[in-house]
Amino acid sequence: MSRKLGLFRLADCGYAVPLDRLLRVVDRGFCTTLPLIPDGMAGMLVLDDEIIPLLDSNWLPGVVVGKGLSAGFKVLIATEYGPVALPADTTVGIVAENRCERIVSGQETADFFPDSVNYRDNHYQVLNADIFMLSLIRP
Amino acid sequence: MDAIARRLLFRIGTVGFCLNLSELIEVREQVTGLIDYRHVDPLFSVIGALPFRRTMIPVVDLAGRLGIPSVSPDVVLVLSSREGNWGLLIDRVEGFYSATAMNDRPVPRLLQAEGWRCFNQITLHAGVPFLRLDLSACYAGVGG
Repeated sequence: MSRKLGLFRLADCGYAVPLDRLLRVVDRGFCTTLPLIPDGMAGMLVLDDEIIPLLDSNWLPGVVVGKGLSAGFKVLIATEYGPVALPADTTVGIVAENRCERIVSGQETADFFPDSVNYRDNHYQVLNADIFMLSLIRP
Repeated sequence: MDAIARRLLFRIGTVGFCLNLSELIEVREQVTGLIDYRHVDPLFSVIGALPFRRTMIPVVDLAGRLGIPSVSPDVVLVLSSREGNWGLLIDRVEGFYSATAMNDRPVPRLLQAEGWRCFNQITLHAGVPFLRLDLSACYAGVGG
């Protein structure tokens, strides 16, 4: 059976998260910054009395810093360090990977984006959450 | 009510902080004209000295130490340490609340920076986060 991908967009770029790592997408919750946090983090999202680290937008290659707190949606993914929130301007939906065209042109911009797909004429980089977390802990 | 069971919530800019009421000696308001700015130690963000009970106590600008913008710092929390009393400059006091109405959470691993840290927990009050200050870390080096 084909795996499913959750698709979202930020700053005119498309991203995909495998459904087994996608916890939920929220457009609410209390977002705030914190002093003295590592580079790449925007702050935290408080949701149902849980504190979830919120990434800034500059973890995405080519995206400017500062959109982490202001983005309209937060995409929550499961990692070995607990839930992490990614900023998103819009959400596209959940699609089966076999309905996407796989791109093998080497357009991936970081190790944690090993794959890319095309869905309805838009390009989405597929996030590998494990490699992604390693890049955050040991940049 | 037992003082230990209550906490002070305050703000510097948009960032909320929390400390046990037992750690607080006094809240001094409208301190701008009272601080002697000749006693400065930029290394530890000491911005001056405040007269308090016939002594002068160092006043630490936590906003400067944390690199966060303050709005209108005009309140000093007078606190105790082993070396004596000291002051923490803040923007405003949010209130005194029972600790039983708060949830303490650890700081997630991804939000822990290397090096100096002045908060060791995040306290949620009505769903709003406040950083639980480690006062010994805030004061470290000030009196030395």
